[in-house]
Amino acid sequence: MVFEAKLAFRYLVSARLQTGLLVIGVAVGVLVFTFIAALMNGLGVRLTQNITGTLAHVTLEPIPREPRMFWRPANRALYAMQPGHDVAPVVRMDRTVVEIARHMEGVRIAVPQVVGNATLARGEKLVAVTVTGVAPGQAGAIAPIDRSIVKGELDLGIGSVVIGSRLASNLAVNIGDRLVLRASRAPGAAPSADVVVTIRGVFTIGVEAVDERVIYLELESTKKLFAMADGVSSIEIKVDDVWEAPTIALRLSRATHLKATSWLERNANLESGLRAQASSGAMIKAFSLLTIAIGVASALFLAVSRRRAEIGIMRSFGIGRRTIVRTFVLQGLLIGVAGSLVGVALGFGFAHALLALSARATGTASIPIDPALGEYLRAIVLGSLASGIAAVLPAWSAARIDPLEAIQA
Amino acid sequence: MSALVATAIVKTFGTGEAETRVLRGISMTIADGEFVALVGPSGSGKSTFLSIAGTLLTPTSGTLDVANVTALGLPERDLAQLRNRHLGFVFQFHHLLADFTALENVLMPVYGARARIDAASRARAHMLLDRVGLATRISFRPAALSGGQRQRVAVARAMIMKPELVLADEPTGNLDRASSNEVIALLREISRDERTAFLLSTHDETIARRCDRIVTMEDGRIILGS
Repeated sequence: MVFEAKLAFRYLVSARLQTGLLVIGVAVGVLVFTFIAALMNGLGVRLTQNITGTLAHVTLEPIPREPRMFWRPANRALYAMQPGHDVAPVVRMDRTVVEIARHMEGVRIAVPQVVGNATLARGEKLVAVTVTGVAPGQAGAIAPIDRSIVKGELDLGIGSVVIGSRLASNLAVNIGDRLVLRASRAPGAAPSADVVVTIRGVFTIGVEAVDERVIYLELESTKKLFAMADGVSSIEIKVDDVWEAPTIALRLSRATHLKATSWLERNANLESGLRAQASSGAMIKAFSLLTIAIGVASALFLAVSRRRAEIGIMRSFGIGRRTIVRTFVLQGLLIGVAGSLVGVALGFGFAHALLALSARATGTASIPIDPALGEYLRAIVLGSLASGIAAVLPAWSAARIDPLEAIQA
Repeated sequence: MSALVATAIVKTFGTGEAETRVLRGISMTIADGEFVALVGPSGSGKSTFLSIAGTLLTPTSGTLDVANVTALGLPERDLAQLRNRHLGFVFQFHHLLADFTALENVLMPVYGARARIDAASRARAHMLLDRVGLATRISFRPAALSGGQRQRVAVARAMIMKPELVLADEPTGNLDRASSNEVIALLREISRDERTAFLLSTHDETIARRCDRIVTMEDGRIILGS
């Protein structure tokens, strides 16, 4: 291999311009590869973070009652059970469930919540809202309400509410304004009492549905609002690794006999979207590798043609076909490695430059590129391999050169 | 011992009506260390016979022994080994590798035999370059050498593996008279000192007369001096 390496290196050095252009060509292909990887992976991470940052990763709820008929031996209906409208499903023994969840490996926090629909009234204006009842110290544990307060403060004392900014805008209310809150009840159910609440804070999460519809209320007050004597409507859980959520959900379900739903189940569209996006990215990356291969192969075919006589003379004094093949494959590999290293450096720099150029005042970039996710090692390996494999065909054609024809030409 | 024994070599190109018979039963024996000139008009088949003797071309029929090895029927790998160990080539054009120095060009056939250049091969390359008068130009690339010097490097390259037979096809065809005389004198000297047989094709009668024996070809046959 020493001879082949020496020969390959000399050939590359002697055709400096062509070698330089080839290395640049490979580098551009690898640059595209790493840029697409950093962009697609960055977008995936940002989308996932946006969703998992504001949602529970696993939600524990009571198993819903299914409609069922009980029959007498004479096949006549005895009793029909339907899902109730008037009785909201409740997680009883919520303290025990929370303890089980908190001690499970991978669980970061478990927060009991009472969630229900209500109507918020200001004067004659009525707006349907979703009330989230949570213990005051845990208001920001699931959605980052504590970090999203734009007016007032996160005060969930008795009779206080924190509402979304779009809702505040719709109702034209401000900090200190008083509103009337009325729980929505099923037809036929006993009417609930109106509760007067005072706005203590306004938040902007950035998720339209939350900012427009959600209000936060202290847990015990919410239970009273929805006439819930004991228990909670759900236990919301955050885990350390969001992609482990389905596994943890399964374990929690087995441990608590409750219905456990992971965020991935609730956002099946996101998962298919991420998969489609990854497929598109993979296609672009494959095309960039194909471009590298075509460029290297065509350049080496030209090199073989130019060095036909030299190859012929080497073959005449006994240099074997394998040596010729190895020499040209090595040239492809050397070009691939050099081009890939340059391309990775360019790709890393380009991703950082783009990130800096698209930075906004909030600290996030308008282009969701993540330079750390450029798949650089993979780009080096695949770029070099593509180049090396592309050299096989020209190398084979070089080895097939008839020494006599080449010498006489 | 014979460096070359060729018997009834026939070579045809093409088939049917397009068939051309270039060699019509050539038989030739060259003893070790013999210096033989192959002469004849253009198209007489000299180059074709040299190519067959050098195992670069397969004859249509006949037998060929090079350095007492039966060459015909050997697989390509063995033929390459045979050329590497027992044959040397000097062509009309030097065919040196442009990106390598004179010393590296001389050492090139060694790579066909082993992966690394050993000290003995390196010493022999230096000796040969000294012998052809290029001791001070071992690190020159072909572009920095004159035509005669390049051809002398090619001679040294042909000799590096101590071959039994060197095939030289018009080795002075591209050189002026003075350079031609130098190269032929060099070949004769090396042939005598290393007991290497030479088969040298030429159009130049002066050069042919300086050989041990002259073989004349015409229309694919040997008409004089086989």
